[in-house]
Amino acid sequence: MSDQRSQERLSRRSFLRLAGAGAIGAVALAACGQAPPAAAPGGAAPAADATAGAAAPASASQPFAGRELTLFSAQHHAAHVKDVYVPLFTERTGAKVNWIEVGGGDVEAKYAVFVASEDASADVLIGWEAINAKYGPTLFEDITTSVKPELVAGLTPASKRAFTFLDKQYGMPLDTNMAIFMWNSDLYKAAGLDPAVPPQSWAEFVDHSKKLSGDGKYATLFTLGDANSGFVTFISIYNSTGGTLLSPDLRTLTVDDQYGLMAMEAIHDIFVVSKVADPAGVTVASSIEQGKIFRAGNMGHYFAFPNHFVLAETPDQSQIVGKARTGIIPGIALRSGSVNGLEGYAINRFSGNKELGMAFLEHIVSPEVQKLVATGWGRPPSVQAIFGDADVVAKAPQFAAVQEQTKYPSPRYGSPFYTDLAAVFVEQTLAVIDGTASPQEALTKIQADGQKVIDDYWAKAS
Amino acid sequence: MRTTLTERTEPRPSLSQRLDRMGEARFGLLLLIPTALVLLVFLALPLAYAAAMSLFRIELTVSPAWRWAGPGNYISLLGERAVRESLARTLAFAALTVGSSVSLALGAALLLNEPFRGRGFARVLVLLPWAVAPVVAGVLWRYLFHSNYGLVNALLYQAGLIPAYRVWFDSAPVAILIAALATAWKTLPFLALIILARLQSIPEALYRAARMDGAGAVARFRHVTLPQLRGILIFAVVMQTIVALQSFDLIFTLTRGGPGQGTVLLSYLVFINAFERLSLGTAAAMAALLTLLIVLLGGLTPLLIARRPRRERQDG
Repeated sequence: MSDQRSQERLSRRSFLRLAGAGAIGAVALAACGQAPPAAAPGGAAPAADATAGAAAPASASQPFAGRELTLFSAQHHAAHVKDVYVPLFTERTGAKVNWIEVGGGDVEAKYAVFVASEDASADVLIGWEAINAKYGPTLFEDITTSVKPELVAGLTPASKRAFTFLDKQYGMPLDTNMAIFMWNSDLYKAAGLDPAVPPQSWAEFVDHSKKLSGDGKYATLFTLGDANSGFVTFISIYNSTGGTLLSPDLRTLTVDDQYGLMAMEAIHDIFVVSKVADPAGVTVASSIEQGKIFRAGNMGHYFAFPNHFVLAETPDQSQIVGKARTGIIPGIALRSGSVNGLEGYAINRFSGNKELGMAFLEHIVSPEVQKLVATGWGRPPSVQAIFGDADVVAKAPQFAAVQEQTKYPSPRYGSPFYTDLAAVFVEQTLAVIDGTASPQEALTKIQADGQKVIDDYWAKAS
Repeated sequence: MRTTLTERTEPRPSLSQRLDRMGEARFGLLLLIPTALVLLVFLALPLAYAAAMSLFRIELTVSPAWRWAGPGNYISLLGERAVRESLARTLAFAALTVGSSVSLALGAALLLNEPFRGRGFARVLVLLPWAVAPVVAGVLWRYLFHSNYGLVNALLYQAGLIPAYRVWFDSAPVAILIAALATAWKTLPFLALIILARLQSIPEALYRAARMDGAGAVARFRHVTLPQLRGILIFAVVMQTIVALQSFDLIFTLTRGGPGQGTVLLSYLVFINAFERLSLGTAAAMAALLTLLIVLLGGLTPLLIARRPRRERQDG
């Protein structure tokens, strides 16, 4: 009995000792961890240091020396923005930059958290048209009056438009990325087509596609793997019909008309009637995947972003080096039409570091960075004047097509209700492809359901 | 003065002495405090916060402000077509997942219960899917059924069962079926393990008695094994139902909810509402309904187990 009591006492004391030792150990471990970097004026959270130390005091040549900026971006920007443009920014301003990145598909989820918690841990945020329209009013800083007018005046019209939502500007564009037409000249030759001449109209595109399809291979691939990619596919075809999908005040959807029908019948034709579009497209959500199939030599032509040309010319990324050609997208009623995929950066409205954030926005549209965007990354610059630069003309032949493409419509129809509207479009487009709805039935449904999405949003907004 | 003397002779007990004198029940409660605190901070508070959110309209595309909605979010959910379709899809997915996983696990457990050469190795092999993270499982199955490079296409094509490689995820029913099989594959080891443990505890005497009564293998399985496994099978069904209703990560990596909305289960719809539509109030209401559904189905376990078959009750 006595032994039992002794064991019991020992057990409880041991527990106390263990708990105490555990607590001390935990504190010791925490103390061994790296001390967090000093918070930026905006309250920036610790993040990967993208630049060398910049602790020197401010001077005329480095006006932000000793200051810190936290950039929130996407992984696909790391190789260019983080590794090239950010060090250049530090060199110019003296500011240290902390870099945070997530996958491109995860940006929205993170922004939802930013808004909900009024998070100021990042000062500058990546954006694109759809994101900009969605988060402009609640997350991005309105820079309409604070940005230098001469910088805005120098932008390409499409890039300026993409960062403007209901007449307010919420960021600066890094590029004028928009889809162009890309084809494999070897496959054209093998199909008996002129390898130097792309289709001039949608009818020719379908005709060429028929010749490029067969033996289990499809001439082209359009992405329909999720709401965004499916909507982009519809828009990229619709934009060459001459129609306007949304009213300028974003309150009225107009899709159930001759223009909508032209686009939907075109989709029906390539997937169902002519069977020239790879049905696997319904599972592909990323243009990156689309580009990989083209670069493997398995696809005759597609609507591609210009930097895909650079990848097609890179030996370790492509099996068709020297065979890719670029032109403008063959249109349905207009000669052409496209969809923009341009990206840029905006200032977090909750950041207390907005002055430095603005300096970064000005940095990305500087001639030096814009030339790097064009020649190093292969993306069309957002500053109009850079297209004429001799180096750019020599190193980026695909921009000739981009410049031509900019003459035709390329709106992305970004809006705060983009995701819901896109989901309605892709659901009905898939119904047309799997034969459960005719193009007209699908449009009638999109018009009704899509308008309801819009009405619901504005009811909530009011 | 006397009081002072008493205080001197009986000093205040130390913390460890007080612990020693503490009753078992109180000491047990004391030990529970850290866990209770963790549960309070990481479970109860977020749950309460989410429950509160579900009563407000929070539209982050408009403003971060919370506007009182009362039961409005719940009422609008019940009338939403996407929710009804997603609920039906979720129940179908759960039925497929439960049916396939429990029957496969039962088969695997019966097999592993039989003596054969390499049984130990086979038991380890069956456990492997359990060690795979759901996200990895999603990617793995996505590539298995890839339209251009998938192993399934290659095998079926080589065997002459399909004329050409096909796209598996272009049809919602097929995509749901593949997602259910992937989930079943992932959870099969756990179920097989608990069924195997129960199988090994069935008294051999029951089988001997059955043999003496002239029962063959099928009859022994039907009249001895299955009744003995009843409890564990009900547990497996309910556990698997809960897993199926909670499925998100595997679906996210396997189909991303596609084609269209074809594999958007309720849990995925919560994600869409919270992180794509930015309607936090609606998402919270939807999550509350999903939790209620899971709790209701989970609560059926003890009821089902307690409800013994009539014949068994009469006998016993």
